[in-house]
Amino acid sequence: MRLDKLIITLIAVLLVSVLKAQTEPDIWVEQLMELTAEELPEDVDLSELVERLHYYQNHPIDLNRTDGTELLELQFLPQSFVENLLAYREYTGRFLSVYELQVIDGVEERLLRWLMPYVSVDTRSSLREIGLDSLLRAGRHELMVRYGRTLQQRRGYTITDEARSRYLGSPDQLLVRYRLHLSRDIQFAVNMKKDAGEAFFSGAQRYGFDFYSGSLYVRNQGMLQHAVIGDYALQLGQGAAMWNGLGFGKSAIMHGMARQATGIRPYTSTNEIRFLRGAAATIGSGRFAITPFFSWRRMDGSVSHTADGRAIVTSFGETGLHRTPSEVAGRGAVKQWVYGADVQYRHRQLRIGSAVFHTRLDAEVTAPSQLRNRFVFNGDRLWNTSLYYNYSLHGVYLFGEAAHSLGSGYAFVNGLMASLHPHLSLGLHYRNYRPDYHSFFNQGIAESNTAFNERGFYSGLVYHPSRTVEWVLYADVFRFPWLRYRVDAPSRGIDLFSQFTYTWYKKANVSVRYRFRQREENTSAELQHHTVVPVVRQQMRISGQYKVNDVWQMRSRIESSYYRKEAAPLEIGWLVYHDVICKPMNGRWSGNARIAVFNTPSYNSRIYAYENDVLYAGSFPLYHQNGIRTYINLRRRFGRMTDVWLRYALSVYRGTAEIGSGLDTIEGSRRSDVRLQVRWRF
Amino acid sequence: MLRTFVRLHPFFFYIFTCMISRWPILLLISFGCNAQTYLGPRYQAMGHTGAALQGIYSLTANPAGLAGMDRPMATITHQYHFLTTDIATQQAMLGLPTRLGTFGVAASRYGIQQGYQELRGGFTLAKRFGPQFSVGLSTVFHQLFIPYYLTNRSFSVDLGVQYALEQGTAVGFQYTNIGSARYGQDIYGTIPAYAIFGISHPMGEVRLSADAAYRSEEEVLSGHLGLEYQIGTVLCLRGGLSVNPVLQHAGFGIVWRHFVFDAAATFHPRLGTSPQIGVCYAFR
Repeated sequence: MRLDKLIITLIAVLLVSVLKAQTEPDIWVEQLMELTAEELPEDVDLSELVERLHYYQNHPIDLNRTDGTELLELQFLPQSFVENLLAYREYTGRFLSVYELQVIDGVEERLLRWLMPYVSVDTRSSLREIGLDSLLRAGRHELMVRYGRTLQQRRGYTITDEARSRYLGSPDQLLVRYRLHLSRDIQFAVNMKKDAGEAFFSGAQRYGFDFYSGSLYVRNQGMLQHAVIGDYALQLGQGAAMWNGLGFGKSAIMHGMARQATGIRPYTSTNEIRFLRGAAATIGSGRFAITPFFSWRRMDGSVSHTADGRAIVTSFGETGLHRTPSEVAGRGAVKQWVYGADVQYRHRQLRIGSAVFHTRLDAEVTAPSQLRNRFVFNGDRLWNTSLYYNYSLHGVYLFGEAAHSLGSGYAFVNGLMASLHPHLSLGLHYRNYRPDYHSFFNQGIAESNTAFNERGFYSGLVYHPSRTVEWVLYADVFRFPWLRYRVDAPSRGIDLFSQFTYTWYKKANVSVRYRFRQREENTSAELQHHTVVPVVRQQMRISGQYKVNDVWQMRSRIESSYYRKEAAPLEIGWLVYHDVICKPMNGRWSGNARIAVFNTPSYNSRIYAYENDVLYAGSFPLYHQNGIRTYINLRRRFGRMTDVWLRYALSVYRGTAEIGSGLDTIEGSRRSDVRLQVRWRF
Repeated sequence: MLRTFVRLHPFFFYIFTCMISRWPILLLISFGCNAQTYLGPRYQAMGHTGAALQGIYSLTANPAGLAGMDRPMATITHQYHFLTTDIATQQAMLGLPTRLGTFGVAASRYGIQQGYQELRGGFTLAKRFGPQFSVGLSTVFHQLFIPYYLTNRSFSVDLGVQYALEQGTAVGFQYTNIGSARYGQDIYGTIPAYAIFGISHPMGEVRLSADAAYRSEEEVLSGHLGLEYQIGTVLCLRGGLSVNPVLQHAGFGIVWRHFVFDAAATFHPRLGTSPQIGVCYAFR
């Protein structure tokens, strides 16, 4: 053992006291959601992330074996830190203790506190080291069943006229998840899901559930670094060409602007849209790794046939819901084939990669003939290429990607994260997604939902003069060079954000956030030709949480939103809530509850807030209209193998005779949901 | 031929002069504070801040910042404004520290050649009172010249103070155009009047600077944030942001012997880019 290595380890162990705090995955996910919720699509499924965090808490990542992807999966580590960690290991040799992390460049105390529960240094688990018999004996099974239902009846269930749109199934929601972990590096996963309104063992869902998903994942087997058969997610570069699964962007977490690609991962989410189905593997040797992949799956879409018999698809389903006859008609209507490969070269803190892939559909995409669709994709096949890099040097992390859809446009992303001073970090991010750039799997960081037809420059600062204070500031200036939905001219906008947080160590924190957003939309005035006018949204939030003792915790928020368009009166919406969280260290019961009061004049001044739910099911619904919402979640442990969760949520609206719209309409002013979940581990 | 035409027809002459003289006026005035509140390239790149910064470019910002000079310096700058390279500002400045205080002289020209010109000449005295407090006073001569239309002159006075706190932090306040001097009631051209409060704070190789400016004529409050990052002894990078209106700024500076080369650019989301360069010479 090298002497300097030993000394570093000893010093690190002496500093261990500050890192003793344990981090619950739920707490991290809650914080992550509070910071990023507004930028995520409403149907995002967080279960994958929560599951991953729970898994790594029980099966810590071995710092001496990881290639960095598992660390990136935790989502809270900047890629620059991961690169520094790998470079440190390469330079000094194997880790002797996890406390050596304290001497790695770019580490912060808070980061370490979050990270410690998920890492270790002395595990073994190659298939060669463990026999098949012991592997099967040591396998851990996890079976989870979740049932949910809205107690009030929605209009869609009351319609019996078969000529009208209606819900074909029952209002019950059912989810079954099964996981089998054979050692640390082999995982088998199955998801089965039925949404409310979908049929069960009847109609289009005659095989039971509406959505089945499964995967077999193996990793760290010599040159075979990762391999998946079944459903998988593939994340490359900055997401300009290929990105499935969860990804964060512009938020109070500045390093989220640098996408942390994890390569191939088994897809274990219940989101029915963003994944690939087939097989993929990463084979690596030395500094090179190659990832061939292929996928074949059915997509939802609105398909019709032309007079000459050609199948054309005018839109793709984005919800995964198959409740009504029209939704069922589009279920799996389009076949999609994807194949390609990615090659990566890695040397110290430099990583360069290149990917090529081909997407083919059995129906031709034909966008409606409108001026705003002038540059959108039309056709049934597409080749995409991508070249990406990241490089870390002396506290500066550079990253970028250039992507091209053959025969059409380009997309460019470049950025840097720099630690200018131990108390000051800078983030810059430039994006240019041309209007004629196409990719079916593009999830690059963008202001709009799709990363096309957008150019923008983001600059952010994080100032933390001490461990108690953090101030995040960013400005994002962007423009849309071509027309968009409800914007009949090239348009532009700005997004300004400031959040100040004060933390009482291990006790409480309070944060104040202000956000100003301006975009352009068509005028509301009835003119022959629409002109675009600015639309301003502002947000003011004061939130805090307080730990009463080791069991009880309080959390509160006051938030207001402002919306103004043209000469219309200023809309002001507000939300106040208080949470009580009870988590006894060794108790059988735990739970949390919320009472929220809100009033927003319209959907435009809506407010998002994260809600605790049963395990793996956190959500962040929007609060709008005038009302009160409350929920309670309870968890009961039965021995070491069984856990039961129960949730009841109630919303009461004032001044309304019905809730929702269309088939979702509920007569009356109340809506209540129940959810029951049982998990067995054996 | 055109001259002959306008000589022969007084009415057309009037129309002609109105056309050629007023459109640039409108164009130039439309830039509002951006064009007329000129700042040197270092301060421009640092988010249009300067109330709490020190150096020769304080002749374009808080005159009290001139007291921070420790040697004579001379500088010339050139800036193109948004939309077109026809609209430009040129400025020459000289700063001279003496036992009585630091004297500064600045002369600038802003506008379009042969169309609209605003000339300014200023004299500044900045003086320290103790190690922490400094005061600066500028008197500025303004001339607005529009060929075939008008020539008008005015005087204004600027006042600034700075106070050095612990650990290199400085706060500053400047009031530009005390008394709200104008060119005249009938003239479009204005001499902007504004008050700025600023703070700057060093952090190792970084200097952060933030200003809040209130423009009294428009009754508008704007915010500015900038930083300067020194890399070695030769290069420094700068960047910043202004709000109301939203502008992004970036630039760099290079030190070479007695010279300092500064470059800056301001990016307006609608109007485009406004670049500036400056060369500064520090005497021994």
